[in-house]
Amino acid sequence: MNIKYIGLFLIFIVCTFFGSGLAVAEKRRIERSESIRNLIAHISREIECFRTPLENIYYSFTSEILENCGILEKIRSSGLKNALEEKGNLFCFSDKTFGALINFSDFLGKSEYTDQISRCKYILSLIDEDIKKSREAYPKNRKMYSSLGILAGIMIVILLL
Amino acid sequence: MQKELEMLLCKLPSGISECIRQSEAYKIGGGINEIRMRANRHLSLNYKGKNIILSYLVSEEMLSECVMIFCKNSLYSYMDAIKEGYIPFENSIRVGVCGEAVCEGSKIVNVHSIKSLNIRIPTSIYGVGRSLYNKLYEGGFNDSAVIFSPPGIGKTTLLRELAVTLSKGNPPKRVALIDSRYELCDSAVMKEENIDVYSGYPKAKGIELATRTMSPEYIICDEIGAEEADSILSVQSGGVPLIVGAHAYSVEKLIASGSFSKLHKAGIFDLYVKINIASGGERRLDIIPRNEILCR
Repeated sequence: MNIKYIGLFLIFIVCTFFGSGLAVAEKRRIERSESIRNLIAHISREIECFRTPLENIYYSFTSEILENCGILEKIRSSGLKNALEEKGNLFCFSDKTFGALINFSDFLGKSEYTDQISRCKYILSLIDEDIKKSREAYPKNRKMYSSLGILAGIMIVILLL
Repeated sequence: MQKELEMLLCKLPSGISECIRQSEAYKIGGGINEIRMRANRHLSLNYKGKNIILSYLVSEEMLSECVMIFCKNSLYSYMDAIKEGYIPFENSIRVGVCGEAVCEGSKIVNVHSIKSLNIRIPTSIYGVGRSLYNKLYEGGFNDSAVIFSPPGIGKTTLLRELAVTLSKGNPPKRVALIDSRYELCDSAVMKEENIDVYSGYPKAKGIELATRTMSPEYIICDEIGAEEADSILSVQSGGVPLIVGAHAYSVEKLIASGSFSKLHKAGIFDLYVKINIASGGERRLDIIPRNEILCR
């Protein structure tokens, strides 16, 4: 009997943590998106001020968040487009922004610097909008994920009782 | 085997590098000076002065891919150089670019539809400049010299050699190298203690800055033209000897050209050095003192 209750308690705890985990994952997606935003701002600055080649720009950029999830290494080895296509699910971008981001990364380095800078500005405005929305929605979503986790745990426990 | 060529082949698309590796010129080893690519034409090599057509047909897409490789996928970084007709690549390799120019007056504002590339591979033949170094030594390292020859004979190689020889000579000299087109400074130059390299500076500005701020004992500069003449005149009044390169077939044609006529009359250069090719491709220097020219 005791073992059954301990098992149900464990299920409840797992469901609660799963809810919190979802909230943490969303927070990480926002942080990664902000890091990508910082990278693009860095690209724009380097192109505008020094016309630095992309390879050097990628190596001069540091971000613990992007490094931890392996994106920075991928960007350095095979370019921004390939990295985004491979790890696109790690960000909080809308489909429209993500499509524009892929398009942007495809054209990166392929035109004169004035064009490159205006493309950077455009994509930064889209990313800023998405990040702002995600940041605003995050406290609500965090509560929702936590509550859903707890509710799911309670429901499973009730059903199993 | 040419080190620079090997490094270049590693970067080029596999079809092109394989075709070059299969060629007789490559298998014999050494002496490939240029690789030429033209859209929808066959790949060609310049091997010891001879033009060799290879079997590989270069498509427009392949040519664009090569341009992006040479630009390190960053066209914006190299647009100014492309407008000047070249792309500086690694290891002093310079890629000549030919396409369609968009002009505003006499100024090129953009270049598109690139149709031809000429990859010039630097050669590292040391020892040719020994006689010129000895002549400079005899003159107490106060003489200025102009090295001239038709294109592709070895002016840049000789200037590079002189920069290294002067910087580690006896006594070692402080050398300012004005490398506007990123082709003078190779790995050997980079290792030297006494060379200050002005990479990418316009020649006139580089000469002016070097004289003012780096107190060099020699300034070395490649391919000077009319716009550098005034700058050179002011440098010479500052007492810094110069070694420069110039395109010319003969000393008469050199001093007859507008910019050089001015410099010659001002007595800027003490030595006029012509690079000759002896039979077998060996380079020989014909050093003509200024007073000898005045007597002609």
